Amino acid sequence: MLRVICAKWGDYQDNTITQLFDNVKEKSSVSFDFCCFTEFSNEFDKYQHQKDGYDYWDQGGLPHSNKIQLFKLDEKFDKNDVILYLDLDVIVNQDIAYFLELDNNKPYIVWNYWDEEKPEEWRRLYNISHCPLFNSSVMLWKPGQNLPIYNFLKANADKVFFTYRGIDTFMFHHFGPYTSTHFNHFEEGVVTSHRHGGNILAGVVHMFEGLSDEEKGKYVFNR
Amino acid sequence: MFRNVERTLKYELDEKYSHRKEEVYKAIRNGTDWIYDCNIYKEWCYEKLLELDFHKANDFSKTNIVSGGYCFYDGQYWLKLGIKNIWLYELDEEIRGINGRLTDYIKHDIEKTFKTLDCVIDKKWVNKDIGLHINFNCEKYYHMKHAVSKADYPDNCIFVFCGSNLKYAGPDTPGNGNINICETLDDFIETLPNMHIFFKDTMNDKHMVIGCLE
Repeated sequence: MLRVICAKWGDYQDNTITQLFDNVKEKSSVSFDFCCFTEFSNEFDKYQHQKDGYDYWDQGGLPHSNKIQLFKLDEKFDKNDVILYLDLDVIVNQDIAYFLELDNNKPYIVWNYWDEEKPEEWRRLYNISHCPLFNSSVMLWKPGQNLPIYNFLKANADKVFFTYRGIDTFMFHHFGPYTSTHFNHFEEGVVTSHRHGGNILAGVVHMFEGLSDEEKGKYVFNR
Repeated sequence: MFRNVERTLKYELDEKYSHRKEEVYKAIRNGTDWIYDCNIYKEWCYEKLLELDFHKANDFSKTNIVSGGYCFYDGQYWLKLGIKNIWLYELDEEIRGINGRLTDYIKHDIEKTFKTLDCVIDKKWVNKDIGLHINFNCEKYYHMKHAVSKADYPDNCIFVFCGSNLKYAGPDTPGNGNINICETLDDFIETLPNMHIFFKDTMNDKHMVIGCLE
């Protein structure tokens, strides 16, 4: 069973979920089950303080850590299911059956190929909390495959929440290519970013991360 | 030693790390690591250890250095301190390659091991069988009291912790990437494990504490 999942918290309106579902349904040639997670454990709430006086980039607090809870919440699914996670601010352009053809011996995450073209930017910022080459807007995994990430966060919550202001950097540092072989990456062009190249050659999934609410409203939420 | 630099800049950095060439140049020429005048503080630490003669009373042959940045002149100090085996820990994968080249001139005297990790979150991978442990940038990590515990290290191991009050003040400023700043030396000591302190002081924005664990 292909499980297409998303997660909602914060300011997103309910119709954004319906829009994403309609979008996936329109583009899918295979059957799938759609699920939006809205209830999350409060186990990490106590770590999510914002450090006084810290700048936006360096405040720690691990925003969007709810996404990592999905790696535990997937236990309700069958172990043979395939989970495609989509952020609410993405557009599916092509058939998601593509994702079922991938070898699923390891989970997948988006590799920011567009940032790789500017090594002077990302490499010198590697040790700083806001510069990963991972993007968790689109992920693919089988239930349990990403449980080590949840377990690692749980075991080191005080340190990780203090250190990282983004889950992507956290995962890049601790489950990325320099320290582990945990993830596969989607091939270049499969998942694309509107911020880096507009909608020319948009991939199977096109992300609108990093854009303003106004821009997202224009491109995504009027699907 | 200087042939070493020439080779590093000419070949290694041209081919593999060209995007870092300028900052490596700066680090060697005037001690500025990217935007941060780090060599002054590293020199302060090494000179203080030598001045206090710790290297004569203690065995520094095995030493950890966390967040040392570009290490070129460091090699001379490592030799003076009697270091024979050194473990260099960085968050930044590329620095290990560059430092390997920059310190090639001591390869017959000191065995180097490079590790890419966060010394707090990945503390289990940090070598504990040492006589000297230096962290030059505690401000880039969670509190050191969660990274180092007395039970794990030899009793006479000397610890040097450096931290700062350099807040983030916009892109490419010295505080960039600092997640654990301490306004005062006392604030900094609060973040450290319990120590018998031999030396503590602040130079400009940088605090330094030398001691052993209690």
